[in-house]
Amino acid sequence: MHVIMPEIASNQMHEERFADDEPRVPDDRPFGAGDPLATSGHDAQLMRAAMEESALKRSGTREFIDKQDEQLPDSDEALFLRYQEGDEAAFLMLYDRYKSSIFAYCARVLMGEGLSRDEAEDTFQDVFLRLAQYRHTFTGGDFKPWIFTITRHSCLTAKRLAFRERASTEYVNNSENFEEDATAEIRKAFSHNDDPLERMSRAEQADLLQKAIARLPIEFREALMMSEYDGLTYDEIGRITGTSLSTIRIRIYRAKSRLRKMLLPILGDQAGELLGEDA
Amino acid sequence: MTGTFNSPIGQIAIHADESGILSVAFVEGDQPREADEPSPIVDHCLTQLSDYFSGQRRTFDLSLAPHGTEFERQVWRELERIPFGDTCSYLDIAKRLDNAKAIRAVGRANGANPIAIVIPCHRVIGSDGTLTGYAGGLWRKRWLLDHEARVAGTALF
Repeated sequence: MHVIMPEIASNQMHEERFADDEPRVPDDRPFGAGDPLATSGHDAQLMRAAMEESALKRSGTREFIDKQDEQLPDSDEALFLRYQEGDEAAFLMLYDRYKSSIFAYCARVLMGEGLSRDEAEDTFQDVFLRLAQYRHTFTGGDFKPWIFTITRHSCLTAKRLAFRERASTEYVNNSENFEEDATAEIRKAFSHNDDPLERMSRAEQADLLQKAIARLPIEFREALMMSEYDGLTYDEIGRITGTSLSTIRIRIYRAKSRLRKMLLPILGDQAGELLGEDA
Repeated sequence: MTGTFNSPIGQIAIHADESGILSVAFVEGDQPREADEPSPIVDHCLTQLSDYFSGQRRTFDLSLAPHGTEFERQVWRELERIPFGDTCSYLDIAKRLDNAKAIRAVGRANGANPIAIVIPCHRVIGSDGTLTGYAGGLWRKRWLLDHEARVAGTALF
């Protein structure tokens, strides 16, 4: 158990760090934009109109919502719990509170990686759609880290989709060139899908994986490669390296733990899949 | 402790510490050249490399201290046993280590050899006779094998 504990601690630290990552947004709209949702296309306008209509139906007038907002400065958490119970006006208030900072985050992360403003706006919308879709998974606690975790996942998904479209890495596999084709071999070993698009994305992930593997301590790397890439049993690895079975087990376990830690922030839940773990 | 040697197939950088030679590697064009820090061990290596390239030397007599796992060092020791002018396959090395299944791991260890030429990883080729890979580039591997065949041939006839 002592091996698992630091990971839990690390996740908690990650959440805290993530909350601190929220961009400082000036009062005026980011990038000189107006309301990003309102300017992000027909679908977004429809979504907002639907939410506003629903809120107005429930609470009578728009003035009532504004008044309620002024008079009852509810906490984010209380608002979201109200939304879970069906109060759409509470959702709109949260939307107003967070729209600037969420859009600024999406724009900074995605446009900084060469994605377009449209893609940032789509991702921004995706955050609020996910918020609605997964509203029942919020069980109290701090709302701000939660919404930014959702935002971060939406950005990662957007980046993956964008890079998948742009990836042009050639998938090659020569037969006996062990020294130069490790990348291709790793790609093959970790790829379970014949779809060309999926394969390109896999190739990119495999490159990330190879870089992460290169950062492992050499004994960990050796045991992991023998197990995952050469298909050797722990017993065989033990015999080849002159090491005990339990040491091999520990090395491979720790190698995977370290890889997971390195890849999680980049690949999100796909990191586990890439490491051949069950979802 | 460092030194550089201008070989017929490009510049070679040598690194060493008190325990022995750490690395002998080809310097690619875009790599900045390090300042030489002469020492007896580096000087020995420079002299022996010079003899090797001029066809006067077939084996090296140097103190080596490459960093690697125990398995990698085992593979590198096997490589040192491949005679000058000869070649062998990855499978041969794996079998000599008593485990044919380790063939891929042997390939990786061969590719990770930090002491080029002195530990002759260039003498390992595919079982079908193709050159397969070489960290310094296949053209260098071909040159080294041709050079050794030529020198060995001259000695025979």
